[in-house]
Parts: sequence; structure tokens; C-alpha cells
Amino acid sequence: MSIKIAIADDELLFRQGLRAILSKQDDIEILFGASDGKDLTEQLNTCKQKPEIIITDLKMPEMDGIEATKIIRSTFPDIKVIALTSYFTKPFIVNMIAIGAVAYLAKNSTPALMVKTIREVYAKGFFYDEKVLKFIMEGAGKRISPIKPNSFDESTLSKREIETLELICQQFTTSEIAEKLFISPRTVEVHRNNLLLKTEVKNVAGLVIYAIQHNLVTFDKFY
Amino acid sequence: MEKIELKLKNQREVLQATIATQEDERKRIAQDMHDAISSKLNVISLTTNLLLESDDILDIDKQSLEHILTINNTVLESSRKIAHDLLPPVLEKFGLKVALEELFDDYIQASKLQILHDIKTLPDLSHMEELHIFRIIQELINNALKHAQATQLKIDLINTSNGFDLSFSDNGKGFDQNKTDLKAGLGLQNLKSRAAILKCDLLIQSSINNGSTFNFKTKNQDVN
Repeated sequence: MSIKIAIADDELLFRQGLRAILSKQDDIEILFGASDGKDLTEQLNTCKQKPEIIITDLKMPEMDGIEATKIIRSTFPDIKVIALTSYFTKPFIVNMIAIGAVAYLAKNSTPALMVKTIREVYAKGFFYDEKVLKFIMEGAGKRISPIKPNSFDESTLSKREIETLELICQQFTTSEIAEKLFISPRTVEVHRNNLLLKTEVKNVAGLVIYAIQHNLVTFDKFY
Repeated sequence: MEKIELKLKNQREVLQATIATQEDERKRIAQDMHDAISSKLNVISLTTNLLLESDDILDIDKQSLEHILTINNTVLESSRKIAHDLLPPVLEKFGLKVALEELFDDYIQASKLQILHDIKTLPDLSHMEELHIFRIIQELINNALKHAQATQLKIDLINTSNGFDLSFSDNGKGFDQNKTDLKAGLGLQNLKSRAAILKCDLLIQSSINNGSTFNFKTKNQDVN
């Protein structure tokens, strides 16, 4: 089983370089490349085998990576989006995560970090490195994700759900969480689904942001 | 008398056109910086990383490649910064509110300035109008720091029924509105031109040692 990936970047040389790096990995398979957001969404609509992860540049002609991410989030909610960009600054990171990107990579990251990010996203649904987490924490006071007013009160989360949430934030997999809490992986999934429903976020990445914003976890628990 | 009026009106129009052209040029250069320079530097970084990954690489080659990578990253950062100073990409991608918050953060980190702000989302503004408001605030903060030596600013941007209302106050040393020097006069002229482009009334209140307040407010339609 390999991780199916699509890459969107308007710079052909960059796409080729990234392809060269990723195709060295046995567990990663690149399905297709796209030259901008429009090309990406068109190929997504027509391709038989859908990618599990999309790596997209932000600044592209025709349709940029921000618009493309919004469309993918609503049309193909199961596909995870990793933003890969030259804009490694707080407002970009915070806003990209708010619209549904599950990881954020600088274009000059090391290949090792790129591969690690893909594997983590595949296994756990999201990956934020230390720098990205720091920006999320700083942005937390500003309510970066759309939290509906009066929609939810933390006290309605059960103790087990909060424990699951904490372990999700520490990047444990479902089976690891099951082992730690002495419950079955299925039960972990039930807790996770309940968390998604109760917090009204779209994905695991949203749960992490939710936990940070509501002070349900502290920063030192991440590492 | 009419001739002088006409001449002044022409001068104002030339100034406004100059500002618009300047913004177009800045945007073009920022775009070129990204397309022609930054994106290629990213390819260099990727390719160098690829070479560094090979197992049979000599130590001496490895050092050279790492040197290339370090320099490349420095140039990449400079290129990003130059493009950012010309036109902050956040403004185009995420709008005025996010761009202003980034601007305030940058100033707060770089200086001892305190900025109290309340920036509302103004959905009816065009990209160009957002850019002019951004430049006005940038100019006002710069002036407050450089000329007025202010330590505290209060910046509010709110919706009104026909546009917006921007108010900017500093606790700097203020100025005599009847006696502005040439250099400060030019900055003021720029603010006035941008206000005219935005169809705003500009109200300035300042006196020596009492700080300054600048208020930009969309003109009433029927006055036009």
C-alpha cells in the first residue's frame, strides 16, 4: 500500500524536483502533477483513482492554492491538503490552516521533512512542526477557525473524549491511543467522531486548533 | 482666478495618476520577483537537497553543497522581503484586515510602539481601495515613528453606510498645521491624493506637543 499523491505547482522544474525526491520513497506514489489550481481541480474531477494527499503551492496563475484548497475541502473532504509555499509567515500559515490545510511546508524545507510530513499526514491526518504550532498558538487568541457563537460548551466533552483529544494533539495514532487508554481502536474512533461532531470542526487538524484555542492542551504536551 | 483653479486641479490629477502608476509598477516588480527569482531559487534549493541526499557523496562536495544551500536560503529570504515590502502578498490573498494585523505585528516587534487597534472587515472595498487604505496607514505609522516620535497609536477602521471611516491618533510631538516643512509636506500631499482617490474627506487635527489625529471618511454621495 502506497500513499497516493498529487502535486500542484506552476513551476515545472519544481514539480519535477519534488517528484524526483518523493519517487525515491517506496511508500509514496505520485498520481499526477498540475500546473495551477484550475488544472488541479479539473484533473481531480476526471481522474479514476483519487489521491489521498495533495501538495499544493499557494501562488499560482488562473486559480491559486487558496481557492483550490477551499474547493477541495468542500468537494473531496477526504483528501488532505498540504500547503507547500515560499510564504512561510504567520498570517499565511494561520489562514491556510483555518481554511482546511492539514500541514504547512516551506518550499526550501529538507526532503526529510517533506517526506516526514507526508507520512504523518497519511497516518494521523495532520502534521504541524514546531514553528507552525508556535504561529497557531500566537494566532489562537484571534480565533482563527470559524467557531460558531454559543454552539458548544467545553463541559459537554466527556473525560474520555478530552483524553483522546490530548493524545491526538500529541500525534499518537489510533492504535497507540487505544493502547494508552486501554480501549479498543474502534472506541477511539467513536470518541474522535464525537469530538468532530461536538466541536463542529472539519478534520483532525481542526480538533488540534480547537484544543489549543480552548486551552484543553498545553504547548509542552506537544513535544 | 479660474486659471489657477484649473491648474491646481490638473496638478492634483497628475499626482493621483502618478500614485496609481507607482502602485501598478510595484505590483509588477513584486510579481516578477516571485516568478523570475523566488520560484527558481526554490528549484535550486530542491535540487541541492537532492544532491545532498545521495549516499556516495564526498565530504568536500557535501560542504560546498551545504554552502550553496545556506546562501540560497539567504537570497530567498531577501527576495521574499523585497517583494513583501513592495506589496504584501497577504493583502491580495487574505484581505486588508489580515494584512494590517501583520503590519502592526511587524512594527510592534521591531520597535517599542504600542498599537491599539480595531479593524473591521470591509467587504465592499475593491483590491485597489484596500491597497490605498493600507498605504495610508503604513505612511501614518512611519510618520508617527520617524517625525513625531510617538510611542502609542490608536487605529480604528469601521464600516459606514456609504463606505468607511478610518481614524488614526498618535501621542507624538504633533506639528503646526500652518508651518509644515517641505519633506513632511510631501507625505501629507500623498495622503491627500490617496484620500481623493478613495473619495474621502481628510480631517487633520494636530498641534505642538499634543499628538495628531487623522480622520478619513467616505464623502456623502450627494455632496459629489
